[in-house]
Amino acid sequence: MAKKEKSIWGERLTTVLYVVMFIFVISYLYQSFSSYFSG
Amino acid sequence: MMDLTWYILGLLTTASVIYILKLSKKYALNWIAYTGYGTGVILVLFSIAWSVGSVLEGVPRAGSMGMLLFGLPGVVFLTITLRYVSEKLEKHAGVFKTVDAHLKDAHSSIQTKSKPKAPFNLRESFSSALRYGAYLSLLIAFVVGMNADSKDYESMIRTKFKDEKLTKINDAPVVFELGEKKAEGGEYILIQEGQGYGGPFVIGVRINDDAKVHAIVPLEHKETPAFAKRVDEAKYGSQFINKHISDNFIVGDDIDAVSGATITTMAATEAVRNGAHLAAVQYFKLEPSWIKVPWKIGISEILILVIFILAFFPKLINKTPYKYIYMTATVAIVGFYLNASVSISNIAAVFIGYFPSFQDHLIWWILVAGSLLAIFFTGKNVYCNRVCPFYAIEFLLQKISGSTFTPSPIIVKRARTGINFLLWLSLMTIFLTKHPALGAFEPFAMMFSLEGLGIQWYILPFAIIGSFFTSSFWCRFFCPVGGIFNNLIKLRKYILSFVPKRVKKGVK
Repeated sequence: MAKKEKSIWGERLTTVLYVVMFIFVISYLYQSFSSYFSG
Repeated sequence: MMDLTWYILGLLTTASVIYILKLSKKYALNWIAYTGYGTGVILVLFSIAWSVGSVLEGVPRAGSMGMLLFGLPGVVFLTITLRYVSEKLEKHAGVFKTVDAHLKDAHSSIQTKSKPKAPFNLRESFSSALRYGAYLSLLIAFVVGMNADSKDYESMIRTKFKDEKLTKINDAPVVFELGEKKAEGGEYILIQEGQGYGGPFVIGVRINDDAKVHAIVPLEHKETPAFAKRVDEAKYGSQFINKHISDNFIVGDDIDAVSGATITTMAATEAVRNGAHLAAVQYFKLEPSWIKVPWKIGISEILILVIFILAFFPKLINKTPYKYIYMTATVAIVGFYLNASVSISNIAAVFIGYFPSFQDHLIWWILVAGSLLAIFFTGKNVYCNRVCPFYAIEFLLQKISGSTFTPSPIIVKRARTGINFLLWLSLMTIFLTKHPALGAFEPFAMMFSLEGLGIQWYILPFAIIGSFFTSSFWCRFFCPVGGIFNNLIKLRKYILSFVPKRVKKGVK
């Protein structure tokens, strides 16, 4: 039972990390793209 | 540029013919399908030719109207036709089949017990539409980017030398004469280009009457920001001041490299050297007394070559003691010492046509060209999970943490789609800006030089934290290099599928 809970938290943690990273990468590309055309 | 457009249009025409032939094998096409498809393809191709031609003639508005008036109806025609074809099969499968086709089907099912044809699948069609839409948009971005106006270096130079009389005396390369024209000697500003690791460097070199370099004016660079920043902070340009234009201007000879940005230093030096030597011969009428740039084959190049060759022997480098030695070598040499990890910017730069010189940038040729050629000839990705120092870092972090959290099944299932989406965004940015480093979101260069810009500072720690908990977190879910290599392998397989088996085996 304890093992199962641990895996759920691991899954949640990696999901959060994935989503945050995805947002950062898209933000970075947006920042690069917009900075090129604005300046 | 128009030549390239005709070439691409030729490729697209061939691809559309191949597609309709494939489609005709899957479905019993009638005259409506052929007419609709043909009309759609012709309209789309015509709109591309129209738009590119208009942009080249300096009337982008006409290009835009061409896209709307011809391109859009073409896409609508294609969509309706393909939908008609797929729905017709679903409703009337077999109705239009010829007797021959029925006999052939029956014969093949008896002989091979092949699986029945899959029914029309809306999700599959949607993903196909997305995939082809992505390819088409990349092609359009590439064409638009190649036609975009280049930066106005002349106005940049004029703002730097406001109080002096500037006369443009040459177009390619751009050369300005400062002050009054002289038969020999004189003062000049030469605009020159050198190829860096991520893209070209453009530098203005000011040469005065005494045949010495008096100023280095960086005009534009398409280098990885971390490398460019390092060069800038090292005040590297100051070592050129008061050097005679007949000097060698060679990194490692009379110019010092900037640690951690050797390739960038060489690119900038190449630009200055070209400018100074051009001025020496053309304007100062000096005999060349400088030495030719020697092939740069030092310890770094040899080490990289050994690491790269060993990557072709996975059985050897995956054995326990050698595995750790090899990984340590990749982190130390490819990573921290040379900071030469392959990035999406390197691969995209190849598509744009930025090739660094062979003599100066052998490391680039070994890693980037070597990895691409390995895919081309062997169909194998020898870079990822072997030469890549970031993979080694991830692997070692996993060993330290000992935790192997499994990501959500949805994320695992959609990992490839996620990478392809990021890869598409990155390539769109690169093609539209013609600036390879702008689309490079990997934390490699930053990791090994500890120089970064803006949001990049957040990408690196999250990539490391993710790798601490999940194996190969970056490689599996984000790396565009792995993404593009996998796509190139798929493309190779797809192309080879058209080659008859007898030819593949070498049987005549």
